[in-house]
Amino acid sequence: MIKIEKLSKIYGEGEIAVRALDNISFEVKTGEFVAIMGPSGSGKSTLMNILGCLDTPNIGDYFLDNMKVSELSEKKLAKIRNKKIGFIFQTFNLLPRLSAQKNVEQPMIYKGIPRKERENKAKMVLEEVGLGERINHKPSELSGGQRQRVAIARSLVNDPQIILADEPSGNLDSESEEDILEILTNLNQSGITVIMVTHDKKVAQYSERVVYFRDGKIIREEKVTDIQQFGLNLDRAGGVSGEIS
Amino acid sequence: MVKFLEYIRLALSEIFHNKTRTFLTLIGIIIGIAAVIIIIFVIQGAETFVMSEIEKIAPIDLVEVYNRYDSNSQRFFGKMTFADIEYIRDKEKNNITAIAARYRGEGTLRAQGKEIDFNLVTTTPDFKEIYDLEIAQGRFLNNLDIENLNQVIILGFKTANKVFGQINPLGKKVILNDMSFTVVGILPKDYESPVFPVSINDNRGFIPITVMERITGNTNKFSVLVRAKGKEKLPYIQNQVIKHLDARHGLTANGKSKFTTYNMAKGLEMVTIIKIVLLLLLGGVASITLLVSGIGVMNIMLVIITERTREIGLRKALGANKKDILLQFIIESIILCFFGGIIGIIFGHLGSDLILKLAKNYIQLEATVPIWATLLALIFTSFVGLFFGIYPALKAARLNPIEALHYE
Repeated sequence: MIKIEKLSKIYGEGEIAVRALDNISFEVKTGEFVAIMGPSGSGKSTLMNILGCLDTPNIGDYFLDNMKVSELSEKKLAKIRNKKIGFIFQTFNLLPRLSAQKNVEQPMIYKGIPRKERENKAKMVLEEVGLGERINHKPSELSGGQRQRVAIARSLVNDPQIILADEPSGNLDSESEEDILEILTNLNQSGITVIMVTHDKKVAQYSERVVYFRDGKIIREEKVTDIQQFGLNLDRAGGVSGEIS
Repeated sequence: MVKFLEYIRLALSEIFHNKTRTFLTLIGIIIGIAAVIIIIFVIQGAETFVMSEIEKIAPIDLVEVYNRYDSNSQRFFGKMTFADIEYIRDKEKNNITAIAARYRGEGTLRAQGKEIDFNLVTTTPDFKEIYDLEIAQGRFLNNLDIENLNQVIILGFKTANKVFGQINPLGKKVILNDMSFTVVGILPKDYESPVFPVSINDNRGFIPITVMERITGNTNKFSVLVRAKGKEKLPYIQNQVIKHLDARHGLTANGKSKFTTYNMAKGLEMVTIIKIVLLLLLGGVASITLLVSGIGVMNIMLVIITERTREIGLRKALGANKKDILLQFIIESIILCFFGGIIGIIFGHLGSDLILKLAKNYIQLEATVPIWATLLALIFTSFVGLFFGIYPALKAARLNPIEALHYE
């Protein structure tokens, strides 16, 4: 699904040039759940921007569904962002003036879906993320976890193939964090490819594979074993029982 | 179309969200448009008033033809005849509605033992059509009166009332300069023809012109009134009448016509010129006002776009392309200005109503704000919104989505 070949992204020119991504090659298969880790400035955000078709590489190729993204027009890129990719941001990025439902409707506007259909779909997806009763609330009237669920609903309305989540639980308390990660896991199990940036090892455990970045390069890749995932579940169960006792 | 409606909805929610700022931004447009509406109203009202005042004196499709007086010989260069009238009536029957001879006189009217000073109009039957006269009782002059020199008279209502009181005047005799006339018609009570001086009812009467000519010997001293079929035919008729008369009477020794014309349209031309000058001045002032307020709108749109940089970045991430963003902000700018235009129009109408009420204390006037002024105001403000919205919207559309998303 996603294939990156010898890709570099360089900001600036000459001596002050910064290689945000330095000759990386990387692949994500359909239906995978990949976590990207690394310190700030390691190039993971740049990679996400390129994967999200918000930015283009200077050198190398990015293939999305066998399309060479670097050769596509700006208009075509907007279309891909609209239909194939769902973004989830650390800061949610909801429009403060609009209700949850209206926020979720926005990507469908650009797809040209008529109003009635849009409203129904938005309600349906909000229902799926467990916000069926809060569709008319403004973001300011929702908790952090609820806001992120609105954002997830928004990323899902156009039935994307890929979800790009940039520190999706970075601004959340641990309980909301678990909710959000569970939703992402469920989405992944329903067949959507999920790529998630995080700096939290525990969060990364939800994925199937973790890719480590440093100084614009991939330094390590490791599979998350079933045991690790299982252990995580145990941890959670223990937490709950601990509270009870 | 789906997007279009949604952009309008978004724009409205933005505009109403920040009411104070919207109002402050639009104050220039509101005042400008209100002023334009009021000034157009005043100009139109003044024109209507002047026109109606002029029309009270004479219909604007009327031309009066006079014999020219030669001050050297103290004689008229030429004298129009009834034959001239019939000739013109025949030649121009498709272009005129009426043609009449008129000669004014004064006299003393006696009847029922009363005596009053009297203004006399001696004329032909067409006079009724020339001035759109109405007759309340009896009839106006007819062709038989002219041919047979019938000594008949049509009286104004007040005159008839003064002389006859409760008695029905029709068929009664009055003495005019020692001649006896039979009353055959009365003008309506409180008669105010739209084309006639208010005083028509006071001491006024009409008799056949031929009778006057016989009594006084003042033959062919009358002026001729010609009413064109519509005022646009007036200049043509004016030329034609002089042409016909010149053909029949020849020119003066120095090659000029022996006749001259006068029409109310000459007065009206001045009114029109003044109106055009005022409208041009108004257009200038309005343009400057709207230019200044347009720059204000542009400024606010730039502020709005800076404030909403993250929104723009987000929208691009969600799939908006350049055109979508451009359209969204141009529509917002247009709606903003359109909204100002509507408020301005409301204030303009309120102001116009107020002025009309004040004016009605002094003059009789019916006037409304012309619909074209309202439409023009809306189109103009929308255009201001479009024009001054393009630059900020382009700026928004060109934002880099990544930088915009991370804008603090």
